[in-house]
Amino acid sequence: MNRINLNKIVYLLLILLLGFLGTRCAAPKEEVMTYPKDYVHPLKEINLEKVFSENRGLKVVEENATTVHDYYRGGVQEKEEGEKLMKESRWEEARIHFEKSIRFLRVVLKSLPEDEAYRNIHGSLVVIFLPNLLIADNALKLVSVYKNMRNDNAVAEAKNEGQRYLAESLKSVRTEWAYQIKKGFENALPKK
Amino acid sequence: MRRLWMVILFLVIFLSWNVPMVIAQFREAGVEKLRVVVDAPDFALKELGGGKISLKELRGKIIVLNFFATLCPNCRRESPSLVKLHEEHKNTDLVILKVVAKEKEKDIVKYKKEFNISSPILMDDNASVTNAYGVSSSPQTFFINREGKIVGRVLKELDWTSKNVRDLIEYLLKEKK
Repeated sequence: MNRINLNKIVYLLLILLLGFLGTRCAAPKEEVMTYPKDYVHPLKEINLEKVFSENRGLKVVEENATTVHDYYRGGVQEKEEGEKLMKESRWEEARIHFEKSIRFLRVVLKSLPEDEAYRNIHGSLVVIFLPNLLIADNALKLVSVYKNMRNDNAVAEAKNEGQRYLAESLKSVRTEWAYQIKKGFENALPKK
Repeated sequence: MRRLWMVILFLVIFLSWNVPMVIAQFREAGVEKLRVVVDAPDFALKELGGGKISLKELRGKIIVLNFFATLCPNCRRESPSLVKLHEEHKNTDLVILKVVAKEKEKDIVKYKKEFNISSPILMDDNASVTNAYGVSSSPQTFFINREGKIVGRVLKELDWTSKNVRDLIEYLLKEKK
Protein backbone atom coordinates (compact mmCIF):
# COMPACT_ATOMS: atom_id res chain seq x y z
CA MET A 1 0.00 0.00 0.00
CA ASN A 2 2.79 2.40 1.00
CA ARG A 3 4.68 1.48 -2.13
CA ILE A 4 1.66 2.32 -4.35
CA ASN A 5 1.29 5.72 -2.66
CA LEU A 6 4.99 6.42 -3.12
CA ASN A 7 4.72 5.57 -6.83
CA LYS A 8 1.76 7.91 -7.18
CA ILE A 9 3.69 10.73 -5.53
CA VAL A 10 6.69 10.12 -7.79
CA TYR A 11 4.47 10.17 -10.91
CA LEU A 12 2.74 13.33 -9.71
CA LEU A 13 6.07 15.04 -9.11
CA LEU A 14 7.27 13.94 -12.55
CA ILE A 15 4.13 15.35 -14.22
CA LEU A 16 4.53 18.63 -12.34
CA LEU A 17 8.20 18.85 -13.30
CA LEU A 18 7.49 18.16 -16.99
CA GLY A 19 4.65 20.65 -16.97
CA PHE A 20 6.94 23.27 -15.49
CA LEU A 21 9.66 22.61 -18.07
CA GLY A 22 7.14 22.72 -20.90
CA THR A 23 5.96 26.21 -20.03
CA ARG A 24 9.40 27.75 -19.63
CA CYS A 25 9.61 29.14 -23.17
CA ALA A 26 6.31 30.95 -23.03
CA ALA A 27 6.30 32.07 -19.44
CA PRO A 28 6.54 35.82 -19.16
CA LYS A 29 9.21 36.96 -16.77
CA GLU A 30 7.35 40.14 -16.04
CA GLU A 31 3.79 39.99 -14.90
CA VAL A 32 1.32 41.14 -17.52
CA MET A 33 -0.66 43.98 -16.01
CA THR A 34 -4.26 43.19 -15.15
CA TYR A 35 -7.05 45.73 -14.77
CA PRO A 36 -10.65 45.66 -13.56
CA LYS A 37 -13.06 45.05 -16.46
CA ASP A 38 -14.58 48.53 -16.34
CA TYR A 39 -11.20 50.31 -16.16
CA VAL A 40 -10.81 52.95 -18.83
CA HIS A 41 -7.22 53.13 -20.06
CA PRO A 42 -6.27 56.81 -20.30
CA LEU A 43 -5.02 58.30 -23.53
CA LYS A 44 -1.55 58.89 -22.17
CA GLU A 45 -1.25 55.15 -21.52
CA ILE A 46 -2.76 53.79 -24.74
CA ASN A 47 -2.64 55.95 -27.83
CA LEU A 48 -1.94 55.82 -31.55
CA GLU A 49 1.62 57.12 -31.29
CA LYS A 50 2.52 54.36 -28.82
CA VAL A 51 1.05 51.71 -31.11
CA PHE A 52 3.03 53.12 -34.03
CA SER A 53 6.30 53.18 -32.11
CA GLU A 54 5.85 49.56 -30.99
CA ASN A 55 5.47 48.39 -34.57
CA ARG A 56 8.10 50.38 -36.42
CA GLY A 57 11.21 48.70 -37.76
CA LEU A 58 11.20 45.76 -40.11
CA LYS A 59 8.81 46.63 -42.93
CA VAL A 60 6.03 44.09 -43.36
CA VAL A 61 4.96 43.61 -46.96
CA GLU A 62 1.91 41.55 -47.82
CA GLU A 63 3.92 39.01 -49.81
CA ASN A 64 6.13 38.21 -46.80
CA ALA A 65 3.46 38.13 -44.08
CA THR A 66 2.85 34.65 -42.68
CA THR A 67 2.17 34.98 -38.94
CA VAL A 68 -0.63 36.79 -37.07
CA HIS A 69 2.03 39.05 -35.60
CA ASP A 70 3.23 39.97 -39.13
CA TYR A 71 -0.28 40.94 -40.13
CA TYR A 72 -0.77 43.05 -37.00
CA ARG A 73 2.51 44.89 -37.56
CA GLY A 74 1.67 45.29 -41.24
CA GLY A 75 -1.77 46.71 -40.34
CA VAL A 76 -0.21 49.26 -37.99
CA GLN A 77 2.53 50.22 -40.47
CA GLU A 78 0.03 50.75 -43.30
CA LYS A 79 -2.10 52.85 -40.95
CA GLU A 80 0.86 55.07 -40.07
CA GLU A 81 1.51 55.63 -43.77
CA GLY A 82 -2.17 56.45 -44.34
CA GLU A 83 -2.18 59.00 -41.48
CA LYS A 84 0.91 60.69 -42.90
CA LEU A 85 -0.61 61.00 -46.37
CA MET A 86 -3.91 62.21 -44.94
CA LYS A 87 -2.13 65.09 -43.20
CA GLU A 88 -0.76 66.06 -46.60
CA SER A 89 -4.30 65.92 -48.05
CA ARG A 90 -3.26 63.12 -50.42
CA TRP A 91 -6.67 61.48 -50.11
CA GLU A 92 -6.48 58.78 -52.75
CA GLU A 93 -3.10 57.52 -51.58
CA ALA A 94 -4.22 57.68 -47.94
CA ARG A 95 -7.33 55.67 -48.81
CA ILE A 96 -5.23 52.87 -50.31
CA HIS A 97 -3.12 52.57 -47.14
CA PHE A 98 -6.07 52.71 -44.74
CA GLU A 99 -7.89 50.05 -46.72
CA LYS A 100 -4.78 47.89 -46.83
CA SER A 101 -4.40 48.33 -43.07
CA ILE A 102 -7.98 47.13 -42.59
CA ARG A 103 -7.27 44.10 -44.80
CA PHE A 104 -4.24 43.16 -42.69
CA LEU A 105 -6.11 43.63 -39.41
CA ARG A 106 -9.06 41.50 -40.57
CA VAL A 107 -6.62 38.62 -41.05
CA VAL A 108 -5.51 39.12 -37.43
CA LEU A 109 -9.11 39.01 -36.22
CA LYS A 110 -9.66 35.62 -37.84
CA SER A 111 -7.20 34.15 -35.33
CA LEU A 112 -7.40 36.58 -32.43
CA PRO A 113 -10.82 38.23 -32.41
CA GLU A 114 -10.52 40.12 -29.12
CA ASP A 115 -8.69 43.32 -28.31
CA GLU A 116 -6.24 43.26 -25.42
CA ALA A 117 -4.78 46.33 -23.76
CA TYR A 118 -1.52 44.47 -23.27
CA ARG A 119 -0.66 41.24 -25.02
CA ASN A 120 2.38 39.18 -24.12
CA ILE A 121 3.88 38.20 -27.46
CA HIS A 122 7.24 36.76 -26.59
CA GLY A 123 9.14 36.22 -23.35
CA SER A 124 8.73 39.44 -21.46
CA LEU A 125 7.67 41.48 -24.49
CA VAL A 126 4.26 43.07 -24.17
CA VAL A 127 2.50 45.12 -26.85
CA ILE A 128 -0.74 47.08 -27.11
CA PHE A 129 -3.00 44.81 -29.14
CA LEU A 130 -6.17 46.49 -30.42
CA PRO A 131 -7.03 45.23 -33.94
CA ASN A 132 -10.75 46.08 -33.62
CA LEU A 133 -10.03 49.58 -32.40
CA LEU A 134 -7.46 50.19 -35.13
CA ILE A 135 -9.99 49.18 -37.79
CA ALA A 136 -12.54 51.52 -36.19
CA ASP A 137 -10.00 54.35 -36.20
CA ASN A 138 -9.12 53.61 -39.82
CA ALA A 139 -12.82 53.73 -40.71
CA LEU A 140 -13.18 57.10 -38.98
CA LYS A 141 -10.25 58.44 -40.99
CA LEU A 142 -11.76 56.95 -44.14
CA VAL A 143 -14.96 58.89 -43.44
CA SER A 144 -12.93 62.10 -43.78
CA VAL A 145 -11.05 60.77 -46.78
CA TYR A 146 -14.24 59.76 -48.63
CA LYS A 147 -15.90 63.09 -47.75
CA ASN A 148 -13.00 64.88 -49.36
CA MET A 149 -13.27 62.59 -52.34
CA ARG A 150 -17.05 63.28 -52.43
CA ASN A 151 -17.91 59.62 -52.23
CA ASP A 152 -21.08 59.69 -50.05
CA ASN A 153 -21.90 56.00 -50.38
CA ALA A 154 -18.47 55.03 -49.11
CA VAL A 155 -18.83 57.50 -46.19
CA ALA A 156 -21.95 55.73 -44.91
CA GLU A 157 -20.36 52.32 -45.37
CA ALA A 158 -17.19 53.32 -43.51
CA LYS A 159 -19.25 54.77 -40.63
CA ASN A 160 -21.28 51.59 -40.20
CA GLU A 161 -18.24 49.38 -40.39
CA GLY A 162 -16.25 51.55 -37.99
CA GLN A 163 -19.00 51.64 -35.39
CA ARG A 164 -19.33 47.85 -35.57
CA TYR A 165 -15.62 47.30 -34.89
CA LEU A 166 -15.65 49.98 -32.18
CA ALA A 167 -18.43 48.12 -30.36
CA GLU A 168 -16.37 44.90 -30.62
CA SER A 169 -13.34 46.65 -29.15
CA LEU A 170 -15.30 48.10 -26.24
CA LYS A 171 -16.60 44.63 -25.39
CA SER A 172 -13.10 43.58 -24.33
CA VAL A 173 -11.12 46.76 -23.55
CA ARG A 174 -12.20 50.24 -22.55
CA THR A 175 -9.94 53.04 -23.63
CA GLU A 176 -10.25 56.80 -23.66
CA TRP A 177 -9.10 56.52 -27.26
CA ALA A 178 -12.14 54.39 -28.14
CA TYR A 179 -14.49 56.98 -26.60
CA GLN A 180 -12.79 59.66 -28.68
CA ILE A 181 -13.42 57.61 -31.82
CA LYS A 182 -17.04 57.13 -30.75
CA LYS A 183 -17.40 60.89 -30.45
CA GLY A 184 -15.77 61.25 -33.86
CA PHE A 185 -18.39 58.99 -35.45
CA GLU A 186 -21.22 60.89 -33.69
CA ASN A 187 -19.90 64.18 -35.03
CA ALA A 188 -19.54 62.67 -38.47
CA LEU A 189 -23.23 61.64 -38.58
CA PRO A 190 -25.36 63.70 -40.94
CA LYS A 191 -27.35 66.38 -39.08
CA LYS A 192 -31.09 65.76 -38.94
CA MET B 1 18.33 39.18 -84.96
CA ARG B 2 18.48 35.43 -84.55
CA ARG B 3 21.35 35.85 -82.10
CA LEU B 4 19.28 38.26 -80.00
CA TRP B 5 16.43 35.75 -79.83
CA MET B 6 18.90 33.08 -78.77
CA VAL B 7 20.16 35.29 -75.93
CA ILE B 8 16.58 36.07 -74.79
CA LEU B 9 15.68 32.38 -74.92
CA PHE B 10 18.77 31.50 -72.91
CA LEU B 11 17.92 34.13 -70.29
CA VAL B 12 14.32 32.92 -69.98
CA ILE B 13 15.48 29.32 -69.54
CA PHE B 14 18.17 30.37 -67.06
CA LEU B 15 15.80 32.47 -64.94
CA SER B 16 12.92 29.98 -64.98
CA TRP B 17 15.39 27.29 -63.89
CA ASN B 18 17.35 29.36 -61.38
CA VAL B 19 14.57 31.12 -59.43
CA PRO B 20 12.72 27.95 -58.34
CA MET B 21 16.13 26.40 -57.49
CA VAL B 22 16.87 29.23 -55.06
CA ILE B 23 13.44 28.98 -53.47
CA ALA B 24 13.88 25.23 -53.10
CA GLN B 25 17.30 25.74 -51.52
CA PHE B 26 15.79 27.93 -48.81
CA ARG B 27 12.82 25.61 -48.30
CA GLU B 28 14.95 22.48 -48.02
CA ALA B 29 17.07 24.19 -45.38
CA GLY B 30 13.90 24.97 -43.37
CA VAL B 31 14.28 28.70 -44.03
CA GLU B 32 11.39 30.88 -45.13
CA LYS B 33 12.61 32.84 -48.14
CA LEU B 34 11.16 36.33 -48.18
CA ARG B 35 9.32 36.93 -51.44
CA VAL B 36 10.26 40.58 -51.25
CA VAL B 37 13.63 41.38 -49.70
CA VAL B 38 13.43 44.18 -47.13
CA ASP B 39 15.99 46.39 -45.41
CA ALA B 40 17.27 44.96 -42.14
CA PRO B 41 16.59 47.56 -39.42
CA ASP B 42 19.91 48.99 -38.26
CA PHE B 43 21.03 48.72 -34.64
CA ALA B 44 24.00 49.16 -32.36
CA LEU B 45 24.01 46.88 -29.33
CA LYS B 46 26.25 46.25 -26.38
CA GLU B 47 28.22 43.02 -26.67
CA LEU B 48 28.56 40.63 -23.77
CA GLY B 49 32.11 41.06 -22.49
CA GLY B 50 32.43 44.64 -23.71
CA GLY B 51 32.27 46.60 -26.94
CA LYS B 52 29.46 47.51 -29.25
CA ILE B 53 28.37 46.01 -32.56
CA SER B 54 26.50 47.93 -35.22
CA LEU B 55 24.81 46.24 -38.14
CA LYS B 56 25.85 48.99 -40.54
CA GLU B 57 29.52 48.24 -39.87
CA LEU B 58 29.00 44.66 -41.01
CA ARG B 59 27.73 45.63 -44.47
CA GLY B 60 29.30 43.31 -47.03
CA LYS B 61 29.07 40.24 -44.76
CA ILE B 62 26.44 37.52 -44.64
CA ILE B 63 24.74 37.78 -41.27
CA VAL B 64 22.80 35.17 -39.35
CA LEU B 65 20.90 37.13 -36.69
CA ASN B 66 19.63 34.75 -34.05
CA PHE B 67 17.18 35.95 -31.36
CA PHE B 68 17.09 33.65 -28.37
CA ALA B 69 16.24 33.41 -24.68
CA THR B 70 18.41 31.61 -22.14
CA LEU B 71 15.55 29.54 -20.68
CA CYS B 72 13.87 28.64 -23.96
CA PRO B 73 14.24 24.86 -24.53
CA ASN B 74 14.14 25.19 -28.34
CA CYS B 75 16.93 27.76 -28.25
CA ARG B 76 19.00 25.50 -26.04
CA ARG B 77 18.48 22.57 -28.40
CA GLU B 78 19.70 24.46 -31.48
CA SER B 79 22.59 26.18 -29.72
CA PRO B 80 25.27 23.46 -30.16
CA SER B 81 24.71 23.25 -33.92
CA LEU B 82 24.90 27.04 -34.26
CA VAL B 83 28.17 27.01 -32.33
CA LYS B 84 29.47 24.36 -34.71
CA LEU B 85 28.42 26.39 -37.76
CA HIS B 86 30.27 29.38 -36.36
CA GLU B 87 33.42 27.33 -35.75
CA GLU B 88 33.33 25.98 -39.32
CA HIS B 89 32.94 29.44 -40.87
CA LYS B 90 35.32 31.43 -38.69
CA ASN B 91 37.48 32.50 -41.64
CA THR B 92 34.67 33.36 -44.01
CA ASP B 93 32.32 36.31 -44.49
CA LEU B 94 29.65 34.64 -42.36
CA VAL B 95 28.88 36.49 -39.13
CA ILE B 96 26.64 34.93 -36.52
CA LEU B 97 25.12 37.38 -34.07
CA LYS B 98 23.04 36.20 -31.14
CA VAL B 99 20.61 38.66 -29.58
CA VAL B 100 19.00 38.26 -26.19
CA ALA B 101 16.37 40.64 -24.80
CA LYS B 102 15.80 41.82 -21.24
CA GLU B 103 17.93 39.19 -19.49
CA LYS B 104 20.35 39.44 -16.62
CA GLU B 105 24.02 39.50 -17.60
CA LYS B 106 24.90 36.67 -15.22
CA ASP B 107 22.32 34.39 -16.90
CA ILE B 108 23.74 35.21 -20.33
CA VAL B 109 27.30 34.54 -19.14
CA LYS B 110 26.16 31.18 -17.76
CA TYR B 111 24.50 30.31 -21.09
CA LYS B 112 27.60 31.33 -23.06
CA LYS B 113 29.80 29.09 -20.87
CA GLU B 114 27.36 26.18 -20.97
CA PHE B 115 27.33 26.06 -24.77
CA ASN B 116 30.85 27.35 -25.31
CA ILE B 117 29.60 30.13 -27.58
CA SER B 118 32.31 32.11 -29.32
CA SER B 119 30.14 34.23 -31.62
CA PRO B 120 29.11 37.67 -30.30
CA ILE B 121 26.14 37.81 -27.93
CA LEU B 122 24.35 41.15 -28.06
CA MET B 123 22.29 42.44 -25.15
CA ASP B 124 19.04 44.09 -26.15
CA ASP B 125 18.26 45.48 -22.70
CA ASN B 126 15.07 47.34 -23.57
CA ALA B 127 14.05 44.88 -26.32
CA SER B 128 13.98 47.69 -28.88
CA VAL B 129 15.82 45.63 -31.51
CA THR B 130 13.75 42.53 -30.78
CA ASN B 131 10.63 44.67 -31.28
CA ALA B 132 11.99 46.31 -34.41
CA TYR B 133 12.47 42.88 -35.97
CA GLY B 134 8.96 41.87 -34.90
CA VAL B 135 10.24 38.83 -33.04
CA SER B 136 7.25 36.93 -31.70
CA SER B 137 8.80 33.61 -30.69
CA SER B 138 12.10 32.08 -29.63
CA PRO B 139 14.31 31.22 -31.36
CA GLN B 140 13.87 33.39 -34.43
CA THR B 141 16.62 33.90 -36.99
CA PHE B 142 17.09 36.28 -39.90
CA PHE B 143 19.42 35.88 -42.88
CA ILE B 144 20.86 39.22 -43.99
CA ASN B 145 22.70 39.46 -47.31
CA ARG B 146 25.76 41.52 -48.18
CA GLU B 147 23.58 44.51 -49.09
CA GLY B 148 21.97 44.62 -45.65
CA LYS B 149 18.69 43.12 -46.86
CA ILE B 150 16.77 40.37 -45.13
CA VAL B 151 16.43 37.46 -47.53
CA GLY B 152 15.06 34.78 -45.22
CA ARG B 153 13.93 33.95 -41.72
CA VAL B 154 13.41 30.93 -39.51
CA LEU B 155 10.65 30.92 -36.91
CA LYS B 156 11.70 27.71 -35.16
CA GLU B 157 14.79 25.82 -34.02
CA LEU B 158 17.04 24.51 -36.75
CA ASP B 159 19.81 21.97 -37.13
CA TRP B 160 22.46 24.38 -38.31
CA THR B 161 24.82 21.56 -39.27
CA SER B 162 22.43 19.87 -41.69
CA LYS B 163 23.58 19.54 -45.30
CA ASN B 164 20.74 21.73 -46.57
CA VAL B 165 21.62 24.58 -44.20
CA ARG B 166 25.30 24.32 -45.09
CA ASP B 167 24.42 24.41 -48.80
CA LEU B 168 22.29 27.50 -48.27
CA ILE B 169 25.08 29.25 -46.35
CA GLU B 170 27.54 28.37 -49.12
CA TYR B 171 25.10 29.71 -51.70
CA LEU B 172 24.74 33.00 -49.80
CA LEU B 173 28.50 33.29 -49.34
CA LYS B 174 29.02 32.86 -53.06
CA GLU B 175 26.90 35.91 -53.79
CA LYS B 176 28.97 38.77 -55.22
CA LYS B 177 30.27 41.46 -52.89
